[in-house]
Amino acid sequence: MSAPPLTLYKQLMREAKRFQNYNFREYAIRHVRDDFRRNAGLQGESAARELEHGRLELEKLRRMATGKHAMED
Amino acid sequence: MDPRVLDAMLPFLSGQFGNPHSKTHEYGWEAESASEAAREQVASLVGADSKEIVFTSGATESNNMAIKGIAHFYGEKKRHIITTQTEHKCVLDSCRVLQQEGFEVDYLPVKQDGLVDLELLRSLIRPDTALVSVMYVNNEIGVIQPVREIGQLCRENKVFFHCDAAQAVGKIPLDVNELKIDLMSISGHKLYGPKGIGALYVRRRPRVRIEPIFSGGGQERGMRSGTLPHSLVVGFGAACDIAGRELEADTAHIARLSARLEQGLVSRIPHVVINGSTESRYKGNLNISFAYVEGESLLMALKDMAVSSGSACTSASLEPSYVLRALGVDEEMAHTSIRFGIGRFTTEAEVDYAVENCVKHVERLREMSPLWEMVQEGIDLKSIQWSQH
Repeated sequence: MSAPPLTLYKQLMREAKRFQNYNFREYAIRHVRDDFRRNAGLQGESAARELEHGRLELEKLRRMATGKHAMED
Repeated sequence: MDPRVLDAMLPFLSGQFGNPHSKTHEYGWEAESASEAAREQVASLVGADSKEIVFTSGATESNNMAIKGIAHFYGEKKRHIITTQTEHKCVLDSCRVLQQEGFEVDYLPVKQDGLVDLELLRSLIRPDTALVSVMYVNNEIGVIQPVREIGQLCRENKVFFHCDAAQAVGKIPLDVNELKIDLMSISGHKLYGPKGIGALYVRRRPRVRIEPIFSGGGQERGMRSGTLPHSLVVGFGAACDIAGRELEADTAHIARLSARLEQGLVSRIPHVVINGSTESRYKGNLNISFAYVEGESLLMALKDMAVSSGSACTSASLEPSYVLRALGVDEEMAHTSIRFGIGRFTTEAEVDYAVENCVKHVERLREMSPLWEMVQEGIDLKSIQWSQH
């Protein structure tokens, strides 16, 4: 993996491992691993799209794993 | 509930809260657009138009609405309904209520594999048949009914087809137009969404009309009055969206774990029977009978395991089962049946643990059983004359 995906992968994995709930934690870890494995060969636009999706998922994970949610007013 | 669903719901549980039907209030607008977006997410998952999705409190309400709704709307000329003996209680009960109102209901028996006999169904359809109601995936034994063929049969005979798809939506790909379904019940919590929300798909072309159960403000195109619980609606939509994306990955995961569970049990425990068709089945639901084992004791042993793993997905349950009886499973075997559920969040470790526990406890309980001893000695239990005392 080149730099941006690898960084994202590590960030996602770190957040996934923080889930308190066993089943969610195991699912998140497996999901990240499977997604990156499946998208490994992507190039160009589709790769960029998946990376963007991954960044949104990372934000979600950060909220979910620690239970802190953005409450909008 | 999937954590991603909760994540989608939370902004709507505070701050953005508003009545989705209050079109003049600022927050009302936001709630309404989010609810309509969710409606579209539900519709997409099943191949429907969002105008065909009516939100309800769950599949029980949807089933009631569909069955009673059709009967009461078309009841003047159409007085006959066909369903199966293995339907969910709410379907059977709704039919019983209609019988008390003077409708005629045929409860189709199922074959030994749990599937409907299509020829028998065809023979029972009459000119005054209003509705055929058959569930897609059975919640107890996991068998998948020949929905495509039933839809075709109903369309040919101009009979409405209602399908309780609570256990199917989000788990197997389905399209209401391909399958020629006219009404379909969907459950939110069965696809890792919140409890207390579901939907009824009601076909618009050709038009299906139902008499609503609730009287009131005429929401949901007059079919279901009541303020939408928009946080639940948003959660339901998110759950459908996620299910659509994850369907392939979930299916592969569940198939793998299901094979592991089945292999583990069947290869290490003699005298087990899988209830229901092994070909036409949803892999996430495995119903097995362990012969010569006292059912409740086994369940209690396994309940501990389910509790300690903290997952509702691998819970084992023992129920006195009218479904198994409909399959012709004899009483003793029905009593020792255990249903295993495998889902998105089930882990391999949990499956292995389940197998180990099952093997251990089945062996232990059989050791204690004099009946088992006799079986080992080759005695045919059915030939025994039990003496009176």
